[in-house]
Amino acid sequence: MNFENLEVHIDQLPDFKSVELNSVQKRYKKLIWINEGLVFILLFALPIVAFFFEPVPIWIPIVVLAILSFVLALRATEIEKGFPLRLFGIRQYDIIYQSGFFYFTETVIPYNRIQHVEIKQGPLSRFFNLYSLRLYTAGASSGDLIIDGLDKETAQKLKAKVLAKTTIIDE
Amino acid sequence: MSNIDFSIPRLQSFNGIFLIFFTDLIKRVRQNIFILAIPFFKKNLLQDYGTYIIIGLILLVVLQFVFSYLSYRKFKFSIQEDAFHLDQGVIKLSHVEIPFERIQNINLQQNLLQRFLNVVGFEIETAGEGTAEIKIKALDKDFAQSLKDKLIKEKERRDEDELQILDDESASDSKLDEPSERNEEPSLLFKLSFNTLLKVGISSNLFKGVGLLLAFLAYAYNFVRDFLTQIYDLNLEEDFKNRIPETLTFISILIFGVIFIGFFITVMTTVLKYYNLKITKNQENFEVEYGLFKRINKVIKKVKTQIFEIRTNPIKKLFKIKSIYVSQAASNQLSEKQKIGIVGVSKLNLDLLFRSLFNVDLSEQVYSVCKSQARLFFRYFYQRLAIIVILSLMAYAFYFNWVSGVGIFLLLLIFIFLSILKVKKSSIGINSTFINVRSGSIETIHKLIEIHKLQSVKLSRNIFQQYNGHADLILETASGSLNVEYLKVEEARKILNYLIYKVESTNKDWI
Repeated sequence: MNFENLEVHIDQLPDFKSVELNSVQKRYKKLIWINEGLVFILLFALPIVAFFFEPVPIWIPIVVLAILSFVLALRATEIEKGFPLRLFGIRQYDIIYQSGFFYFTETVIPYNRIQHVEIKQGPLSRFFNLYSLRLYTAGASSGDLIIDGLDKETAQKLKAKVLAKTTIIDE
Repeated sequence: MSNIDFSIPRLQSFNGIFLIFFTDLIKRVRQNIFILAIPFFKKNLLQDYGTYIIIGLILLVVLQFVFSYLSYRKFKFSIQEDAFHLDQGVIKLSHVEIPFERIQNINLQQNLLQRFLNVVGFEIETAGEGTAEIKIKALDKDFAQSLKDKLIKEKERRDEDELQILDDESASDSKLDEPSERNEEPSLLFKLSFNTLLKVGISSNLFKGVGLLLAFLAYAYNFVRDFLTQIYDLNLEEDFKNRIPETLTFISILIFGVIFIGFFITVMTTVLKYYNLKITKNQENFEVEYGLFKRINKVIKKVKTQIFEIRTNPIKKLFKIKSIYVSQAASNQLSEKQKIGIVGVSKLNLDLLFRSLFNVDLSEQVYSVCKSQARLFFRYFYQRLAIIVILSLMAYAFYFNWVSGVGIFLLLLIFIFLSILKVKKSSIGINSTFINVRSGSIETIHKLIEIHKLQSVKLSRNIFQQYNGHADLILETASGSLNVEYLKVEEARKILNYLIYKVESTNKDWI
């Protein structure tokens, strides 16, 4: 691998790794757990009910429970280990977001490619007073960026920052 | 032609009633095809309820006709001052308005039925968050053409107004080149001869045809078996199982037959699909037209082009032809069908097309190449292994003998070979304007993207990659994402830094 025919020296470019990143609100983890918990309570309820149900052979709920517990363990690791990795950072021309433990993803979106910005709040996050910031780019939704678990001030600050940059370039 | 008043709300061509009726009818039949299976479950159905069934069917068809007629009557479109207006819906009414400046492409096409009824289909594509695409099923050919011309004219007038405002501020916009070239006449750029088309058919992936044939055979087999077991009380499967050793020759003949007919089907479908492929250059855009029964007319817009794909395989290399697939900006991940395919292109034509789309020479592009690491093999291998395991389990349960054993072992070898090829071909090359993503196993696919058309860049590392220092580089564009797997993490990071720097330092827009 050589980068010789590029017009800039690749080692002198700003590295996105050198940016100081901010974490999302700590109370967001509680929210994730509540969401996850509700789903798993429903999922666990089914095989447990099946235990007391005569025609179902006993091994089926046991296997289902074992698989569910395994999935729960994985999810728990993902949430606990992955939460400290949920970080965002802003640079002069772009926004950086990283997340995930089993699948660690780092995304960089230049401001001049952002189509529009949205601040959203679900019913549960209203209870926690948390907001999520959605950055839409052109094309498929896989290119969009969603940052969950922000407080109002940060979300609005980020939105203003992103919007200021996008409009300046648009003009 | 241009003195038609488009501002009055209009209906589709009269033949549209029949077109809508037949297409709806075909749709209904397709949705309810499983009803055909009912006679197998209930004997004497036709004798007992025959008249009722026939009356019911006739009623349904009449109802469908009434519904189709109503939807024809309610479908009205017109051009008002600022936009294209469309009203439709029998029960749920809807009104769509498309401002001229949001119109991206206008496609005219004709399928077999439309050809028979002497009408054309009219499609308006827009780019934006909502997919407000408009499809008019049946218009007179002349009318459709003048409607298209009218819309394009209106759109151009809008764009010009906009440009005049922009004129004072920036000079380096690519759109500004347009007015100077506006007077250019449409010119034929490329026409596919029948000979080359045959070559394209021969060099196409014959497994598509084989797959089609196998699906059909499986369906037919099930159908016949159900039929026979119902009537003659004969168990085909048991019979077949007992005779396996003696029918080995029969099986090998069958396999060859399937491959041969599959090959034939592939050639046929390719020839039908791309019959008389033509590209005409019209100002900054390219009109692509192809198809025998279903004539498709698509427009490649220079500014809307996102991914330029070049595909070859060993047979194509022998014939010295390549296929090009152009992806344009859309609001979803583009499927293979949505890509605009130009097949059977010689190197000369490829260079010409590339040059007219990107204003630079393809042969002058030199890339710094970064290859996927060998560990990628295991990812493909484990994925294929899952298939092998499932097949083995099935073989163990049903046909446990040396034939299935050898078959599965051969399949494993083929999978390993293909995985190795895939890893070897996977790479990313970059230079100051382009990204070249290479992939494929037997086929070789080059995907070229201008760097300034990137939307965002991601690095993704699963738990294993985090330990062994690899990363997948994901490039998001307005027509879907591209994934370069298993790069060394430092190199992937450097590429990301470079690409982001290029996107941020350019004033070119992605569309």
